[in-house]
Amino acid sequence: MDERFNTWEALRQENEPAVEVFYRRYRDGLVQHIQTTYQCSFDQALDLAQDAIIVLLEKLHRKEQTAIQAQPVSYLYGIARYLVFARFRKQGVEQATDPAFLPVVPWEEEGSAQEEQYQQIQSAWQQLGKVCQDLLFAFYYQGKKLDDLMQEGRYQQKDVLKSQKARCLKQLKEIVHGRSSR
Amino acid sequence: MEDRRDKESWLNAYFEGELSDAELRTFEQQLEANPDWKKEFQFRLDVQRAIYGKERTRYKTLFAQWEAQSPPTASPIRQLDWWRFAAAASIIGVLTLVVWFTTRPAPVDLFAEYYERYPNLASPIVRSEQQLDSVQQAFRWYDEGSYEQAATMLAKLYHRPAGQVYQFYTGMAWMEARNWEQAERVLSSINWDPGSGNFPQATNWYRALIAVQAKRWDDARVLLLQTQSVDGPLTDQAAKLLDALPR
Repeated sequence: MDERFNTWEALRQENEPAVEVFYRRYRDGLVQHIQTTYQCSFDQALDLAQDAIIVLLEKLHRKEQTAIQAQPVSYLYGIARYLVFARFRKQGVEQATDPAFLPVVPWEEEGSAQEEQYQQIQSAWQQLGKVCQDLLFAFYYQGKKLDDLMQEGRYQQKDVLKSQKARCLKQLKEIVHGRSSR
Repeated sequence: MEDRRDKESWLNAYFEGELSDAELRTFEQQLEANPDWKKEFQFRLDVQRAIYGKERTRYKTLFAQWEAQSPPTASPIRQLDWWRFAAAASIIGVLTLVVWFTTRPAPVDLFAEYYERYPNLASPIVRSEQQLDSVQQAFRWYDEGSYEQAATMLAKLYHRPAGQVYQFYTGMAWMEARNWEQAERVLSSINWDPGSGNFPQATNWYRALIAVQAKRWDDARVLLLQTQSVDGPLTDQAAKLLDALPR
């Protein structure tokens, strides 16, 4: 087994210095690529490059690490291409995209109809206990399956884990509904 | 055959990405047939998207901070006169190489320039010929430069009180013996307790130096940023070396 320090593993664990090194390494090339390929302004290109880097970091959680690690630049360009076209779709541009480059969750446009609902959930999230935050974050963001969480040893029985997750969701829902009915 | 999974199993399987195309179609039919399933599914989808939104905002804030510290070098695109551009680029390239080779230390020199053996602070040197215990013997070898013997002996002491310190010196001894893989393996496995003084910072520092000698620049950067993020005797050194690494 390779015991060396592994930047990719550090990235997957959201180690901030690792993210900074990764960001600084790929930012300039990606911005220039977007600017020249898609004829964007510098600010648009920087915004898209940042979004592409975020999507790549999100995908690292989803066990796509090996493929991404082999060709990080191809992945970044592929994701950027998807984001560029998704953003300009309003202008009638459509395109086919390799599913490997799609974000796990679509990138919401500012002012979308769902934005208010997300904001309510985000506010309610602050009132959740740490156990619930960690559990829901691991399941819905880090893409950990219930079996993965069991293997990490945080829970001894799957039924207990399932019940805990259900309680956390119920609690979150009650906070959200409490807010929205006020 | 009818699928008898309950709502919770279906929802978990969906978010775990475990549904086949056929199962996905069945799931969609279930959602259409059961409004309470659909409502619950939508809520969980919203929860997932809200968490993603929160994390994306956090990343954007971080990126903005880093941009403020050092803005990108990319410049707006202009129509270029390519011949002039090529000539200018060649001259700049040659000049850059000259400046690079004359002012920046070569990677191998970086290691030599920054590496210094960690002194024996754990066991005072015993000068007399009295019987040495294993700790004293291990550190006598360390001080005498018999590093492989020192490392082998120190590795047997991990279970003792202060075992993490012996682990650290084992890594140091392997570094001195130029056995980088062993050194990295040992140093990366130390779980320092809170209140371990400057040892955690020193551990990151020496791991960064191992990465430097192997020219693993990104790994070195990450470890140096971690070294630099702590107040300690190696904070300034880490900042200097970080600046000296090849871009």
